[in-house]
Amino acid sequence: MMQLSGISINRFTKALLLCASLWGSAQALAQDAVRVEITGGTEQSLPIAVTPFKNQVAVINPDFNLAQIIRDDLARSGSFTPMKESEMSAAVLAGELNLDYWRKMLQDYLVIGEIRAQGGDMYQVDMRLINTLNNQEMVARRWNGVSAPLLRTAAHQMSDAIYTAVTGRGGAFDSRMAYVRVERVQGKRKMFLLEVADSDGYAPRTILRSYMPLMSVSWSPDGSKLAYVSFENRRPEIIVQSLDGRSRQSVAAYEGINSAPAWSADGRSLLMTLSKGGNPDIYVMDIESKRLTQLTFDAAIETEAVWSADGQSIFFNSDRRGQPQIFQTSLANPRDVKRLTFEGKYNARPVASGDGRYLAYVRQDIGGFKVTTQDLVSGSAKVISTTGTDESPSFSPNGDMIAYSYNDYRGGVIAVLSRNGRAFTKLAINGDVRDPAWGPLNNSQ
Amino acid sequence: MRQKMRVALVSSLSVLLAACSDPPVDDAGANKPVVVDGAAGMGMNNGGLKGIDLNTLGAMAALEDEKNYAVGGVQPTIYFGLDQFTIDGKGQAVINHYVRYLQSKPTASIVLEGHCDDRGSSEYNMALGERRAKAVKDALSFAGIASARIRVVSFGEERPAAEGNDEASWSLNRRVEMKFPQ
Repeated sequence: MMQLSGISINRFTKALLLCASLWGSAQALAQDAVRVEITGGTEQSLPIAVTPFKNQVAVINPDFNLAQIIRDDLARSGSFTPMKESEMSAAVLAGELNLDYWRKMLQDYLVIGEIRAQGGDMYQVDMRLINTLNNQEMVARRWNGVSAPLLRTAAHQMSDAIYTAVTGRGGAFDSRMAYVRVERVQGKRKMFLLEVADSDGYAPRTILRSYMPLMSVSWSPDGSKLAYVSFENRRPEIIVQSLDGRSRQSVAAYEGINSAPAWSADGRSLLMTLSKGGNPDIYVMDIESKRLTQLTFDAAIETEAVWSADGQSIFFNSDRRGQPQIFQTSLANPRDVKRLTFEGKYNARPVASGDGRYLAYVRQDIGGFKVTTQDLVSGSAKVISTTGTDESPSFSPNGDMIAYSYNDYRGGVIAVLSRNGRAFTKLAINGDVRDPAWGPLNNSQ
Repeated sequence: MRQKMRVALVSSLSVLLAACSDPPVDDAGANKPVVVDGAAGMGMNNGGLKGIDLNTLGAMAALEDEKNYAVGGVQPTIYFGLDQFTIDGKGQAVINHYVRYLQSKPTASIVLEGHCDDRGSSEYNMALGERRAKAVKDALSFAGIASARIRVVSFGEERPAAEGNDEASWSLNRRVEMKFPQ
């Protein structure tokens, strides 16, 4: 994995901070390529001003506008309301670092940064986060020797540093999203592409093309492999493929359904749905030995199993009560099954947040199929999406955002919802896309 | 070895395509393997991502769909209601027709492909598609067709017959297609 990561740099003294000259000229690089809709909610959203990075103009590619990448990241989380660049006073941007101005604009946090060209398309970037209410510098970090293509990654790492410093929670922006794209070959035949992009949908890379459907992508916990379902042999099989393209293996091609793979946190086993026993049931496969252990035994449909955060139990979808509902069972005692959803006649595709606190799933209500979150401690559930054809929710590594796909008039769209329901963002991925799977943090590898 | 097999697959595919008279198929280059290397051109050294050459993956399987399996002018498709897997009178008539066909061709085998509309969870729909195909299998078995001749496969919501987001399209997509491998 990429070795890029910032280092701490000397902090400004307060006196220095107050008289330091801010950037020579504000650059009109603001862009609204990614639209974030604030859809309501009660949790506090923190005001933050991310000023244009000094010397941003040295970077030719407008996709690498660091301040805008950070603003988009923070807005997507639903925990911040970044000030629009167009609303910042050009005079302030051109002159003194005037904390009074930012306080007057009700910005509790200020981010300033500077880019230095190092020659050979390499850059050094500094980023500082300042609490304007108490003049405290919270983050001062330097990224050295960043090649131009990695400037977006550096910006995501800055967003993570800001997010963690302010909220005390882990970041999620320097991570990747895998998903399926559908294209038409010569306007007729469908082509299915497995792609991996940055968590904001930029920099997509294709890792597989097939004329037959691909679905249900699951990341290995180290981010090096994907498990997914492929119909390349005209039937569903579970494939494990390394992202570097060096290995690709069919791990389950039994009679009937082989589907819904879900990787365990230790990377050793895969949950999956197999119908080789006569009807769809959940099994766990030890990947090394391919040994299977059956975990559900009901004659109904059991599918879409995922691990609980502690790895001791699984959540899954079963229609044993007539319609799909979410159930939980422990690995130690698979006959002990607990039903978790009671509102709504159809609750499917569960996924658990990494901290074990939340479950997300798709509920059918009056407005259609909607991403819903459930607090596993209190049991209370909340529909958080405003779209109605939702599928495939997937938590960000810190559990604060949920990626999912839905259909609009043009085809499939991948969007990110903040878990608190405040922010909804369509990702900047063009075309007909679906089935997002949010990968682990890049730095964790 | 694997590479060679792929090349062979592509060649035989081209022959097949050339032999196929209905819709004018792709120009010569379209099915040539293309190295999928996302890192190149992206300028992104992110994660050492590198694709593998699988451009023709599933091409033969996809081509199967262009074959016309109808026998005696009866479309070999059984349709279902929303979230349903029961066979109605119309579906039973289609099944009866193909029972007679299978009886007249005792060596023929049949593949039942179950499909769903795209509403709801794609994995649940995979299971529902299998239920539909198994309902048709049960009906064939009941009519005396040996189950060894019948294969069931579900495509879930992944292979819609109609692409619209309306009941007219959805009702065409909730189906079991009968196919007769040569």
